[in-house]
Amino acid sequence: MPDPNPSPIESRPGAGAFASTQWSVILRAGEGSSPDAGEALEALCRTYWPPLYAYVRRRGHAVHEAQDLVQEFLSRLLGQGGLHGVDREKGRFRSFLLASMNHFLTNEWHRGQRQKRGGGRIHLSLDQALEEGVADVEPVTQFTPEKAFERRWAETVLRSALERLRSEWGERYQARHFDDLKGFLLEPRGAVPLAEVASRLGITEPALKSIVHRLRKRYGELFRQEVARTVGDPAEVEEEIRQLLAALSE
Amino acid sequence: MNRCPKCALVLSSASSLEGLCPRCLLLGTLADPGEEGQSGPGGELEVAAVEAALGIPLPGIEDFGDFRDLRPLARGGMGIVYRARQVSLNRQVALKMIRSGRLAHETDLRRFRSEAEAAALLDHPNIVPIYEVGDHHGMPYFSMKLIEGGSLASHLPRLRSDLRAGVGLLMRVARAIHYAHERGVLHRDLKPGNILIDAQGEPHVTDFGLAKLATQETQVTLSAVILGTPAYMSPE
Ligand SMILES: Nc1ncnc2c1ncn2[C@@H]1O[C@H](COP(=O)(O)OP(=O)(O)O)[C@@H](O)[C@H]1O
Ligand SMILES: [Mg+2]
Ligand SMILES: [Zn+2]
Repeated sequence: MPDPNPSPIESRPGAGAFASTQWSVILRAGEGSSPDAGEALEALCRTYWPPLYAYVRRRGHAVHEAQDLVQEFLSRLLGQGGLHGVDREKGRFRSFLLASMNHFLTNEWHRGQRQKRGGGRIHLSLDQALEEGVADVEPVTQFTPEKAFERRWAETVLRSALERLRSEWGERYQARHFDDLKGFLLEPRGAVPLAEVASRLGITEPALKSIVHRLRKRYGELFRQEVARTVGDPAEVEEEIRQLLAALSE
Repeated sequence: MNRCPKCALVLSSASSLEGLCPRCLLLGTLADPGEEGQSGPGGELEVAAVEAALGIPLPGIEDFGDFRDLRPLARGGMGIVYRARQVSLNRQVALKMIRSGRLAHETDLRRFRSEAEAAALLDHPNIVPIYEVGDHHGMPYFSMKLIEGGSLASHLPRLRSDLRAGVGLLMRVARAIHYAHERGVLHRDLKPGNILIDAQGEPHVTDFGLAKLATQETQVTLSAVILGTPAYMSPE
């Protein structure tokens, strides 16, 4: 049983401000115990559907069918009791979702239950997301469904951390500067000319370096927090990061 | 097909990562975040400059020892000045803190202490009086009289067109500086930002952060200090 109580992660120094692991959100929603749980889970599904969508597409389903399937899958996941017959003892949320989706695709769907679709508590606007290009699946067509899923997953976690960094920056600093600075998060360093950005921001190079240092450090922390939310045990974070990196290697 | 120029990873045409390559981004989280720019004395100054340049608002502080409702008034090179309410005496004061607080460099700390000491030696109507010097949970601070009219910098346009007022003001600053000299305190950083104007238009010299006790130091004459500053010269 994955520990629904996330305190070991929360109390870790630097793990800071996250309320719960994805696991605890899932479990709480399944129990219907918290009024916020539905909302939290919905947010979680909004975050994590692109990898699921990429996976379903690579399994050979057409665009609209894949959208429907993901929608239905997530609705079930959010429903009372969630999905039955899935091994919840798997530590990683990523593995859990993939296994659940597999289970869903091979069993539920083929039992012809698609007519029940749409009655879920959430309505994800997949069309809109597709328009925004988030679910753009073409570049991953060369991969197996699992690889497509994992790649999208890695991007999703990176994006969550980036969004948090952007909003933290925006709270204290002028948001428009973030776009000038985010390139410095990338490795290898030195690709973005310090002098150019410094002069655009009207600050000195040493000043910019010190800002970049703080940004990189903070992004690393936020990324680890996001990863931590998806694993069952804080000790798994570094290993999970290695796997995400592997997913991003061709 | 769109590839990352650095690692050749195939990128989504409409990336979910604001155009950043996910692989290079992830590698960035594994790398050391890099040197903190210039460290040593002055490093914090740079951060201050950055924050000022970026227009970063300073957060207020609710509770600080005997003080409540600290609201940032200004950020200088080394310090942050707050307006605050002193609970025990129920009065408004200005509170100056060293901006890097507990992480301050030793030289900044020394300068901060000597600023308070120099100012505390002086008792003159045109010099901002220091009330007390303290340390709250490792954060050094001193409180002083709150002067609410802004610094001379913001009054210069008005004074340029009112020479008489400008000259009168300079005379009082000159007397204050002369007084400090007599007590062996050289300000050494006299400029509009360090002269505060109160509600009656009276000037008050502040920021003795660079002050030296005039013993063996080169004696800078009062006129050189005052008249050598272009902003103080008459339009002719
Ligand atoms: N006693 C005070 N009352 C009101 N404002 C003050 C007071 N002292 C300083 N300030 C404000 O803070 C600014 C910076 O203060 P200053 O002592 O010159 O700091 P720094 O050493 O960082 O230059 C001043 O220009 C002024 O705007
Ligand atoms: Mg000053
Ligand atoms: Zn790359």
